[in-house]
Amino acid sequence: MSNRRLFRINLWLHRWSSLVATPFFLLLCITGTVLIFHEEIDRALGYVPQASAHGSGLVRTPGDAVAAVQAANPNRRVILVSRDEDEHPGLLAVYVAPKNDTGFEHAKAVWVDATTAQLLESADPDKTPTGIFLELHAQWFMGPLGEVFGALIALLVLISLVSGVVIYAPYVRNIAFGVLRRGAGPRLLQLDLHNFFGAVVLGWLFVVTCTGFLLGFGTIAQGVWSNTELKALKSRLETPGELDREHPPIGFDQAFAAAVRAQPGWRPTQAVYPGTDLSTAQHYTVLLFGAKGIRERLFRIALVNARTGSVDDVRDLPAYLQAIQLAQPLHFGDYGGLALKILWVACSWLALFITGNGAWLWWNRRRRAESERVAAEPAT
Amino acid sequence: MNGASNLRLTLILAVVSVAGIIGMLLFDGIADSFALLLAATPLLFAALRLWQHRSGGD
Repeated sequence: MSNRRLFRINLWLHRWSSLVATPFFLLLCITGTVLIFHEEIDRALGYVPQASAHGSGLVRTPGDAVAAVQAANPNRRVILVSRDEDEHPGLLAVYVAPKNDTGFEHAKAVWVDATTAQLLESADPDKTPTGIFLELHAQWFMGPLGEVFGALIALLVLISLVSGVVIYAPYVRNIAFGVLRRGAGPRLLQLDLHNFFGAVVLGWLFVVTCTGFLLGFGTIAQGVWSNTELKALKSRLETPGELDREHPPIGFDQAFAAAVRAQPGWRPTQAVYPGTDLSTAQHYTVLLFGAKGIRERLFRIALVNARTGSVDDVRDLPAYLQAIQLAQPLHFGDYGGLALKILWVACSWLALFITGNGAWLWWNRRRRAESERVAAEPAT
Repeated sequence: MNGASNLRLTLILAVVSVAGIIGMLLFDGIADSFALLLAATPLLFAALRLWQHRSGGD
């Protein structure tokens, strides 16, 4: 294929993939900027529950805290308990779902003080401003289908990036990196800005787009795991006899302790109760995070028998789920403190700018071509 | 600087930035700060180039 033909194909790909993705990508940049600071915003708006000050109140066990949530939700059952001592010290997030549900679509979080077993007031995360932004950003208000739609947008942006680099190559033969041709008309200045800022955020955009594409398949990948690996585990580990899913003989805190005994140095953060899409009928699925480095982000699971407390299996997730797990922090930029968040915002805004000015360049070129065509037509 | 060098520079900046972004996820401590510097390199370099051109350099 000749260079000229390659250039024209990539120009076409860059133009149309970008134009189709533009309205969606603009929205993603705006909502993404807000979501970078979701923790700070939620805290400022008072949506983050706080542990109550412990006075002379009776100290209760974590099991009592879960029982208090169960008692307050008689038509639901506990399906997951989450504990994050860094973000929410002294608190448990207990997820309850309709009794016959095995999935998490209709689950709601109830916050409870782990020491006093006192239920805490908290807003429905789906109805907070950041919750609504997240639903728009991640699912386009369409549920799991919206996630796949998001992946499609990411794919278009990825095509736009790669084709953009190909058509950028001949451009930089003539223009030094960072030169902005002021005084040569708005079109050339905007073109220089588009190429310059595009080059600056190329690496960041590549990371955010690839991770966005992977995250779009999160729910599907979870379903695949549930129907393959977990299904095999179920047939290997499940024994005859029904288990009381609402009141398993072993509590989640005992499951946590058993998992830590089996994997010293690992930190349990979540226990999925028996009888869900992510656990067997008789086992807790306990999520264990490592102490530092990449293991802080990449959990492994321990299947703890809810009858006996024995750890029947410990394993890492398959590669496709690990990739999706790592994609989350890399996409949202929330793993490196304030400095990284500021970098993420700067790159988001530059991406926002080049998306908008790219659309303007296309419109301006079209308008010029149209007026040239009209001027060339013979007067009737 | 010629055209090929300009393209190479752009790609190097992108690779350095990706390395920094991933490095921040992998490392702790001082390596983490170094990775942040790598991640921010394209922005810092861009700011420097803009300042150079505005003050009539290059």
